[in-house]
Amino acid sequence: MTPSSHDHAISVQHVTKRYGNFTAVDDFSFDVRAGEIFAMLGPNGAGKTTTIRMILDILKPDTGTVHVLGGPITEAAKERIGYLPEERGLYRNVPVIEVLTYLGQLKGMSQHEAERRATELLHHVDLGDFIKSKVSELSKGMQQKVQIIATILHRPELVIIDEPFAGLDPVNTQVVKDLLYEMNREGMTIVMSTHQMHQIEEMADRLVMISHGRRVLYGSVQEVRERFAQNAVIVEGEGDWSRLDGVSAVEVHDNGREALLRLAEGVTPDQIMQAAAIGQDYHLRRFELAVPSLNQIFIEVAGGNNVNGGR
Amino acid sequence: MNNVWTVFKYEVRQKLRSKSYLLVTFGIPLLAIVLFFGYRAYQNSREGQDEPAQPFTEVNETPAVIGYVDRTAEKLFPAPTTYPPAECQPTPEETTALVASDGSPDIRRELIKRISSPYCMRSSIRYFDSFEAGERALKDGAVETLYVVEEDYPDTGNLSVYSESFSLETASNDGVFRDYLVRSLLVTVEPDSYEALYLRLRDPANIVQHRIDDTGEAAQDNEDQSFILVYGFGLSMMLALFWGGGYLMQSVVQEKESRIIEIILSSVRPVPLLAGKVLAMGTIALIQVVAIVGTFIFLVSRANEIVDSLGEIEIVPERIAIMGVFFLLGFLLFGSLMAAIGALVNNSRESQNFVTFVTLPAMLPFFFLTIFAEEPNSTLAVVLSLIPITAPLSMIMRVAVTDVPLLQVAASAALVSVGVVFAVWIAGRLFRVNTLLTGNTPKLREIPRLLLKG
Repeated sequence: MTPSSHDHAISVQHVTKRYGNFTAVDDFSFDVRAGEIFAMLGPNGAGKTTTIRMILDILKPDTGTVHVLGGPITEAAKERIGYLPEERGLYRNVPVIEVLTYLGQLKGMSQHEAERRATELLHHVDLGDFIKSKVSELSKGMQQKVQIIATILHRPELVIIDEPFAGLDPVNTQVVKDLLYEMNREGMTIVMSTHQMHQIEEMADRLVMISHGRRVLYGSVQEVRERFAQNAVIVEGEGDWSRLDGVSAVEVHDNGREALLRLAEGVTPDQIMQAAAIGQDYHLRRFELAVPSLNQIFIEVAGGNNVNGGR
Repeated sequence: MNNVWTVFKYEVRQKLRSKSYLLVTFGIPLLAIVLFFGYRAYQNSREGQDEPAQPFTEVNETPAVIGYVDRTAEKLFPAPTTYPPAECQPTPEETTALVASDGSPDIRRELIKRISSPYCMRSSIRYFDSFEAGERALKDGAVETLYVVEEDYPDTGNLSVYSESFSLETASNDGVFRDYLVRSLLVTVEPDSYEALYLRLRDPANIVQHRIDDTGEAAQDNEDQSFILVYGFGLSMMLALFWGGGYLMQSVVQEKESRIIEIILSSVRPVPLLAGKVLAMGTIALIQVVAIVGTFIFLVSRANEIVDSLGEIEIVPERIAIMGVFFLLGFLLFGSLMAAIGALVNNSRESQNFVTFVTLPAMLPFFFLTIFAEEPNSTLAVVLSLIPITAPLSMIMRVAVTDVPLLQVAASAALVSVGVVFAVWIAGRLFRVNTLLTGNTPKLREIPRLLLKG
């Protein structure tokens, strides 16, 4: 894998970071492709934040390399990145527009340009009436939206957001999600770190999971889920599923409608579907692979059943 | 570099908008000016009202507290008792006419001439024919203040004033004696000496202060002014330094408290961020110094109309330059240490524990104010102006009143510079990502480890 490859927005290679005797990140590698929505997940204290800080040059890795937007991170490259940390806030007694303008200027925008774009984005997320209000006068959800604006104000090519939806109600979650999709359609790469697995399932193209500083899962969301798929199918319909050839066990769900059919070794779901289709005693309304949710995978992996090295 | 400028502009703008800053920087000087001129206007209006009554209400009843010796060749100022006796109290008719303001010009002229005779001040002014006699009376407490009309008085207006202690009461004697000089000059003025004396009437006294010490030796000194200078400059500089350092710390702590620090650090490295803040808060503190010290100098230059001795204070440009250098060094020293504290703590309350370690030693010279005013070149003053943490304030207080030997100024500046390098190093070590982003305030014993680890 070439770290400086142009289709990689981020390339982290064999990175290790220690604090005294504690190894926060241990030989960690992954790439983020340009233009994708990438998720970083892992239990608390797994090393996500440390990794993000190394990507942003806030911390230096002890070993390994980090390339961002085509090369080692420079001050100029920082201006092409937007970052929203998990531990975040804004100057409380300063008007919203001034905080945004200042943060935009720190990212290389002119004062005028930063002001104009901040005003535009504030209107976009229904905060047009609060442009001159002090941050302390805004609700938590409003502040959260202002923070998201601060992150994308300077039209970064890469945005890294830690817990983008924390503290947002469903309506505002959708507003922020739409904003991120919109930016992504315009070519922005998005890296998000979150515990909300359903958001990752819905939004992310690929993911990496870190636990105890090491990579435990890596790949496209679909690949990962399929990898964790048991040799089983979920069916809904009528018939005596246990009598189907190749089915080793049947677990009927509490709702009484769906059943999980565990397959004998060497039997594929295709064979079961075929058998059910030709069997006259069977009527199928639903047939799908028993793929676990990311949430289940997360609990399984973070709980200790690590898949060594991810892929 | 761009970011240093951006941080600088933002910090300055925010601070200039803060109500508390504006109040201290411009409100206090403004209040001082208003009080000063208000007091003066009040004084003037009282003088205006009392003018006709003053000679017989005030002077006659004032106990003899002023003594004087006349050293002029012409003996311009004979004893009050040698003037022709005059009726110093207006008659009831005259009083009625004056109060009703319809007294005829003749009554008025006659009355003024009579009651403004030097004779009418005989009970408050005593003549001594030699300095020794006057000095004896001063030491015995028979007079509060002794004026010596110097030989060159007709040309220079020079008077010497001797007293055992400085107080506003003795200072107000200057006004009374000035009045006596004017009255005497009006009586004794001769046509051929008219021109010189006319000038003296316009500016009757140029007073140099003296103090009789315990050994009875009279030495010319400027201690009262010195005290005011040392106090004024010392206090202003100390406040400005601590304010500037405090603002710097506050601005770091606020960024940590509001948790915006990590967002900022994703755009700016800690060192340019620190540099922008130091420059901004230095500028902010300088504006404060200029406003406060400027007002101080302005009021002092006007104060001679209230307290004569204040009008004599001279502010030498070279000294102001030296003060500027030490203010700058002092700010870098305290600013860096305060920024370091800001980087260590997580909220303003915690910062107080650490701040004392910096402010207490820095304030030390202020506890020895009297020594700095009376003996600015004493060993203690010299030593304190060589120790980096006490030097900025000490040197500013010494320079305010005396010519400090250039070698000492240079040595002190060099030592403070070493201190500044050390403080910047400390700030640089602590103003790092690990410290800024950590959620815990380290314990005192952990600080050396933070400083020394790579």
